[in-house]
Amino acid sequence: MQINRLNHGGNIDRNQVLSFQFNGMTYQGYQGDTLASALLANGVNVVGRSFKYSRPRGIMTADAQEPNAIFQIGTNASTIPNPRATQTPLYDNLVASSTNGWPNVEFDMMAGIGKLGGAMMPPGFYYKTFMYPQSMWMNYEKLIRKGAGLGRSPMTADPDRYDTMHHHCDVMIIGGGVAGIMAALNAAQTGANVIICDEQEQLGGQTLSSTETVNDITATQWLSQQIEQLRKQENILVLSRSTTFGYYDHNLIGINQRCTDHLGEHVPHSTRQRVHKVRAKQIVLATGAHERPLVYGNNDIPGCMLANAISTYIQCYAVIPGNKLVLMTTNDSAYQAAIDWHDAGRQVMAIIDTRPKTDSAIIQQAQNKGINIIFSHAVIEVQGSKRVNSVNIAPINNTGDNVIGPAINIVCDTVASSGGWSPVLHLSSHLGQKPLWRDDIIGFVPGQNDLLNCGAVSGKYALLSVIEDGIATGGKAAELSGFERLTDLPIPDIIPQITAAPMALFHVPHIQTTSRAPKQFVDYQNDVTAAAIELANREGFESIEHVKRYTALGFGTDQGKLGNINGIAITAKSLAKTIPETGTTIFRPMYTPTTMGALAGAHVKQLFAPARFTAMHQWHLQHGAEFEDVGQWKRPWYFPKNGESMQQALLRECLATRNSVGILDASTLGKIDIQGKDAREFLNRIYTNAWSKLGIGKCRYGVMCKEDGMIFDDGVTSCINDHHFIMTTTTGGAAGVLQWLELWHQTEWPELEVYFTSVTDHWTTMTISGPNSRKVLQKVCQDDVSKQALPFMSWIDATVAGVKARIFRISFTGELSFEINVPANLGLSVWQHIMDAGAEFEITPYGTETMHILRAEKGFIIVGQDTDGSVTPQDLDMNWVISPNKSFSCIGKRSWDRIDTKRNDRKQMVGLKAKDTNQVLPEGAQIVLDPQQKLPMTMVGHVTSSYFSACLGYSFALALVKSGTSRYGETVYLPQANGQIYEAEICSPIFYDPKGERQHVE
Amino acid sequence: MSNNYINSPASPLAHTNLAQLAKQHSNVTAGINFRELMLLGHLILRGNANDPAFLNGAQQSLQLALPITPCSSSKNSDYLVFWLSPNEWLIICQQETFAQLTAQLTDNLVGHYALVDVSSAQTIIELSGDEVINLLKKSTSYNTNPDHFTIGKVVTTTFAQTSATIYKAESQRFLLVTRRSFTDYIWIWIQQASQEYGLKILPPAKALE
Repeated sequence: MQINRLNHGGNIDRNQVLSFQFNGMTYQGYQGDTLASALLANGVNVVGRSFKYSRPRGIMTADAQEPNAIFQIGTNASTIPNPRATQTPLYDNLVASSTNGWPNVEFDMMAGIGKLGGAMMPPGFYYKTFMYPQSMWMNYEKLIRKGAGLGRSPMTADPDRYDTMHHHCDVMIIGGGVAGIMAALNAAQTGANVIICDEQEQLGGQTLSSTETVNDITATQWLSQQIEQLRKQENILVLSRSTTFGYYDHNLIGINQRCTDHLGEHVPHSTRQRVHKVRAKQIVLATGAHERPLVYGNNDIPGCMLANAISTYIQCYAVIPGNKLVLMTTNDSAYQAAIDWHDAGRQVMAIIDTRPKTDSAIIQQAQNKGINIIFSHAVIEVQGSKRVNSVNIAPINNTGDNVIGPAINIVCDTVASSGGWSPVLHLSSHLGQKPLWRDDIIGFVPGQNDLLNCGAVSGKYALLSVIEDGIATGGKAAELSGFERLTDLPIPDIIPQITAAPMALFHVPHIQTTSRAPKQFVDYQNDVTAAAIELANREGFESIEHVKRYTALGFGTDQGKLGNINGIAITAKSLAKTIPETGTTIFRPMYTPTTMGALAGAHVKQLFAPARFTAMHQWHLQHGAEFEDVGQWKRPWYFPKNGESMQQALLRECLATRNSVGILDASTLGKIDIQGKDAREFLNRIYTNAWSKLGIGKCRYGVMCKEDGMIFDDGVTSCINDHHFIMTTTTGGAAGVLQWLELWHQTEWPELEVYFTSVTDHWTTMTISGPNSRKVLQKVCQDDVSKQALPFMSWIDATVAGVKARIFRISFTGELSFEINVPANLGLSVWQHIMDAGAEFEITPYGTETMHILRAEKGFIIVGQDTDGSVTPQDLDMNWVISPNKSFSCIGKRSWDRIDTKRNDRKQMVGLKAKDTNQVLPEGAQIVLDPQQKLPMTMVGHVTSSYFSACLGYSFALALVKSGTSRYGETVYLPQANGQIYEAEICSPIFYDPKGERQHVE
Repeated sequence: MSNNYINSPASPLAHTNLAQLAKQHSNVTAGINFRELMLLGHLILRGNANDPAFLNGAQQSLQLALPITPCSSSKNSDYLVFWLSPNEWLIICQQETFAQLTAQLTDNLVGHYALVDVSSAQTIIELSGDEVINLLKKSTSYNTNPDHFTIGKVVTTTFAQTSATIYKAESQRFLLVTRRSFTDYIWIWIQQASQEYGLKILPPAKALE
């Protein structure tokens, strides 16, 4: 039974009945309802329990301010925590539950604890109560979290899709009330591209519930015409159900559009929410104003609502949320709620106007309807528990500080209050602007003039002035973005109403002092009362930012919507300051909670990060490779056969390469084509060694250092001709190295004639390595690849398997080794021919792990594994790679003369042999000299690479150890977290073929 | 030893079997049409745009002036030339004319210049259809408004989490030059982003038109 549903009116479709569940009960509403309006229609009073005191709470507002009806919407994987029911469109079979008040809101097990705890929970409660003993904090936290509620994240993968769209426009208008609509229309008629967004289900804002007359038709009819015009205009993009959550530098705003949330919990094959990132030439805030409640005793009992919310529910949803209304107001606008209530046929008990007797058109209107108006009074206290059952009203003085007479009781079930309006200036605050207080409108407005805003957000509330402001601001925005503003849209005819001035009242006085009076809530979501704010002030928290943190006023998902101005006013009063002196806290993004899904967008699952593939990836997949991420590349890690373990596969791959031939996909190595007559000179400056005499057809290994003398990349560079070199870099370092070369060329040495072009993706590189590698190569290549024609560290142009190739005789394994480079379009094809040719030698594909083992056996470093940006070539005992006599210095050279880099107790690279030859020392393990030393022990180094060697028959490691090169033969210790201590002997880092006979083989 | 190797060049999207998909899609209409312009010749030309001799040499070779306005392009029946940076151009042609082009440039250019074959390093994805601008809006933060991204303009910019060189061929037809190793990622991205508009695969082509 929708007991509070009116038979007529509202923007709902009574033919479309929707069923929904709230806290396990089934109700019905109509298409066009929000969850909040449907709950009110069904007479649901209690929708949650409060955060700290566990008090029953009902729906208070009809907009983004809602502090109580914050629900868990949906089930299982698609559930969303914390949407406001006031902004949640109803759909069939919607499931919602309170985020607070377990196990149910009607009978709350926490209530007893809450009431008791509440008394013990003053502001600053966390800091005071749960500080000691510190070890208990984790337990306290669990208790608090469970009690506090506020939603839960889904525990399973999100079935929905989200994405992002980028826009560029001339004029972005935030807010689709009448100010925003008129601004959009007027800006668009100049030819400007306009985007307008609005967070509610329907465009129109407050005007949707207006009863005024515009151009001789009702305001809502006139509004419909404007909206129709808006949608027709080709250069206006209208985003509805779209919340601007943040306003960022350089005119960027973030908007979250709820695309399907109004259709159902999960709508297959569609985007659930879409983030629009809009870069605009001009941004107009038309965000409107929020009505401010008054702060009075027990103002949180269900049935206490904002006056304007009552009008909205009656006008837009045909829902009247009670039977007997008492309205308390400081201003004219709230009278509309009483008039609407009266016109809907239910009883208005009284309008309690806090102002001394005054007169205006709307007061007249109320009087003419026979509504009882009591001036100079206030509702000082409400009675009831799960619903209001009466109020106490009392006379107050003209400034609203004191009760000046006895209270009388009025029976009612609904209390509407209005303390005036607060412009919604949150977005203006995101950029750090300080809001400006205006006494005439009793509210803050956006602070600076360079920000365009119109309508209620700039303190204009009368319909006529809102329309005028919207038109003027839209025109100005178009003009500022470069369009010619000829004639503005005409101003419609509206008869101005005679109004009476509002009264500045925030905190309603009580007969008793604030601390003794019934609780007067300021921030409902965080359970902050007027007494708590005064207490915080008394305890010395005077800055509004400190008051906020001590009391939690305006924290979390609330971001100071409903309670902030009242909290500031109470602080100002208790400190005897003015409101502008007290100032506001900073509002931050998100304006309302935004789902993680929306922010992640489509960058999830296999699109989480780009994966790069080589030309042979399909082959690797077909041959069972396990993959390793190297930078963004998917590189084969190892190729297990017949259910081998990783270790078994590695032993097999290593032995096959050392004894016959292995093949590695090395395409991911960075390759940079360097051309120009100064290429050699450039290499001289970038690399530590000399390049002036590298002959055509020769290759050379080099390391690059940053200015601090520390190694940051290495690789082999080959001379194609005197003006042409090809550089290889580490896989992960490729982009950084190209950037580094460009940086030095463009900023320091532009006079050098040299061009760099990345050819990483162009060349597929396959390395065949091992004693039989030449035999395999000779089967697919007729060119002379003998030692004479192709000695170690040289390269030739050749034809491999019918494809023009470059063959480099370089070795990262220490074996006879050829790196064959072919254009990647033919990479897979050539790879297959080589595999066929190698079959008789049991050519064995190997991955990065075997490559690591084989190179470590030779003591070849991997930059980034054996170095960490704090290692010089000298630390690696690589003086041979430094050419001291170059005519132009090289990058890093000067730093090797620093006292620190000349120390002889720097960490230097060594080999380690574990005493237990089967024990693979953990990479990263710290090394100490004295295992008996008490903690903290003196650590002299760490393991950088560690493997078991199939060829050597024992485990070995590379390590950086202080003064390591002079410690060969010494025993060191590696204490483990479990108390075990490994022993190892320091040795040369070259374990295998120290003379290099194998790679130089005939 | 045999010299008769059969080598079939493979585009970075070879594994997706676009030709087969195109057959299945032959009767489909969709908001987005996808076609790979594969195995074309891609040549990077580097040189000094302020040097008349360099510009002349290029013009003689291409029978086309190099575009020197930032983000511009030029084309004739043989070549499509993109400005990439103040001293860098991408020339795209049929694979068959590539060797001849390289030879002509080598003959005609003097002084400091560079030619780099990147034919295997990248491929071209042609996107067209009524919803193509929306697809781009989902993929790049670059301004795709028609008064800003005009026909003939070419920009190298972000595309999803990688980059692409995007050329506007017609009001609703764009060419994306993508790096080989990132192309599979972009292919998956486009499938995902075009779901709401419908995606039709057209048979891949080995020509620019």
